[in-house]
Amino acid sequence: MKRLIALILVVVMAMSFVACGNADKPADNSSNTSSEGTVDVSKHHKIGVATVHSGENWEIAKTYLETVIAPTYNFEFVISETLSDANGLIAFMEQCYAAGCDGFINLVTSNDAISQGAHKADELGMWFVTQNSAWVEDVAELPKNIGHCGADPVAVGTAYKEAFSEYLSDGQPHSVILFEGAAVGGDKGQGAASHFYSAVGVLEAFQEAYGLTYDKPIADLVNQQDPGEVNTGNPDVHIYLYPGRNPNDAVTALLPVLQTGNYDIFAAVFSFAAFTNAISDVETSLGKDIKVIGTAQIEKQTKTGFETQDPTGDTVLNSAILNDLSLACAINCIELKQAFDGHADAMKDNGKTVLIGVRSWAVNGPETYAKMEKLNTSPELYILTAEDLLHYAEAGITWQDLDNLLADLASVDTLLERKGLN
Amino acid sequence: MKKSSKFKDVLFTLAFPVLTWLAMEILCLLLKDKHVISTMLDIKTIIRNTGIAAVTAFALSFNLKEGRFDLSLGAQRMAGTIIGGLLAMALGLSGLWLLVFAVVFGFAFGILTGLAFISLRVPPMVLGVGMALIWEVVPYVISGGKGLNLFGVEGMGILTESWFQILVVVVMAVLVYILMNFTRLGYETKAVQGSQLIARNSGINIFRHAVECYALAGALVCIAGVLDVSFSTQMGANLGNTSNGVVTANMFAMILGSYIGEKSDSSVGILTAAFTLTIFKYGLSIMEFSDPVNSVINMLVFIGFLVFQANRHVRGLNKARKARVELAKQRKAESAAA
Repeated sequence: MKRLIALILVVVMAMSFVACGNADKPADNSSNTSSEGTVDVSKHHKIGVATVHSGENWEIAKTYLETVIAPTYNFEFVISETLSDANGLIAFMEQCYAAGCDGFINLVTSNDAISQGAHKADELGMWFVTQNSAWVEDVAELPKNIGHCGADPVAVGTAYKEAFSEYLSDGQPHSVILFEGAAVGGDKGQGAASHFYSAVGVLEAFQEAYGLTYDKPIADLVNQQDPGEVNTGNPDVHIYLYPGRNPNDAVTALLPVLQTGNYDIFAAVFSFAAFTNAISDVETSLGKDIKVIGTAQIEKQTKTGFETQDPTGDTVLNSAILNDLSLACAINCIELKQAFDGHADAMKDNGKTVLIGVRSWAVNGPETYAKMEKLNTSPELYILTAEDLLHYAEAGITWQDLDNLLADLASVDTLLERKGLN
Repeated sequence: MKKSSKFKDVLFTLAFPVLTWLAMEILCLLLKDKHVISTMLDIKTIIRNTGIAAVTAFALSFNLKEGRFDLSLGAQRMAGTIIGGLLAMALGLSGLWLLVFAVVFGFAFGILTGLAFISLRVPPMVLGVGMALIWEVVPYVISGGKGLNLFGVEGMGILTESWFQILVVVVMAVLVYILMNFTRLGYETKAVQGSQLIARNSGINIFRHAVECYALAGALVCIAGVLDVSFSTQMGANLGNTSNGVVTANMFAMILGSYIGEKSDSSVGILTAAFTLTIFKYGLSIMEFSDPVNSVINMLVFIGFLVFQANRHVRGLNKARKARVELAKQRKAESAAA
């Protein structure tokens, strides 16, 4: 009996290892042709990917990496389990090096992880790119560190400002509770830059709409550790900021604030869905509609948010600030491909890494989202297709070209036109 | 037991939530000019959080009181809830079935962990770490890394209803009370808590008993998982032994519950402790402290209570020792005089 149990446990343990690695078969293509020239893809490259993500959005990005980018560039990806810190990153990098990886995409976003990872990559001789929203200066000149690409923090703030302006332009006084996530210190490389600028965008939108006179500079208000109401100088306009990384704690803490009935907008820089039951309870209790604006991804949850009705008959999610992991992954891979082909310098600015920002999209209402949701559902509907990938892998492409590309894609209308979805 | 003593015990038990509420009410009024409980929604939130904390503390108590700290409980909670949820959703069933499936899977994971414990004889904490890593992978693979997302899923509303949550918690408390007081399991638990060696020598099958404890803990912790995910709408399939934090966060409720339970019953004690600590945490939320400050305050109170627990008998022991010394001196003086 004991032996049988031990055998069963060994089998379960062995099967569990299936999830720990991802060894796709190398593609057998030797060259691919772009519209303007040929990009040599005969050499096979193995790329380590250290992720902090999980869930549907990450699965979409993984599918894109494995089914579009891998065959196009003759890449093979070794993808980590969900990592959280520098130690996990370094251990995984060493495993990848042992497995023959010559390139690495790092999604562990803390400054110390990026710094240690870049040094380790330099030591191991692996090209290293990071997917994050902040430039890390102390490793900017390391030869093997190519650069950063992630959600453009300032553009996220602009998207929030745009989304809020639509609600605040009706001449009525509005009030907001903002779950600002890791915004504290986001402008100093300590928190999340995108969260910081999201909060700044919201405060600026309110300031411009109502001529508010805050008692502190906006950056200081966002950098306050303790949750609380901002002194707006207008008794009819309330702004409540809640910094915190755990949505479950935030839900409990914000319920009493929501119940005051002072607020008619709720915004969350991540995990908006975690708050929806609490908001529905308050809407039922007070008989009042609360608009929900949240950072989201192009995935089923966002669609559900736009299609589900709250107790007041409005949609559960009213506006979404959309980010796309797949696009950032594509830029990371273009940077690596350029480096493999001997053009790493073109991805840098005078030998220093740069931050290439993916612009967020403000989507107000289900109609626009119904078009956006078609993105990433087939090879031709990824924002960058195989043909685009080959084009941007050509010699002569620089980081400015990639930045210009992302700037062109900043508008929802332009993006939808480009993909034939408008 | 005399009537007056029973009345004192009831007062002792009730004193914890009442005094905590009073203290938080005064602090909230002084610092924020707010009440701890202002509306029915506050009561609903406190009921839900009490339920989650109490059921998790019940689960912890099965093993921890016998000296086994199962570090895989969080992973069992995650695995049972996610797999149960995915199965219920795949079959188009309601939230009630999610709860049933989660309990069944939690029970199964608990049995397997218990069997691993008695077969391999690895120390419980070491085994717990290993089993946690295995159980974490199961929902990760089954959900394709996505975890469980109940946002917008039809038929799950029952799980967030207050009456249902109260019903679940009361049923659990009664079940634990019956198990601990009127069944073989309760008798064996008390014996093993006293001395595992003596219990074994007196004919108790301590191995079967350990598996039963693991199984019940697995089932209970999945109920807590379902209550939690029904409100927050999502549970991630996290790897890297990160799943146990939500379980160990309820250790205070279990230990305080054991203390309160000395005057009543363990199940009543844990329920009271969970209620007390939920009021305490809710009060801190009203006072608008940040998450890190809340954590520090919670941990300081926990450590303070552990210090009290460790030293509460010292005064009595010193008094008894002094009395013995006095008596010895008296006897010596008497014998010298004689």
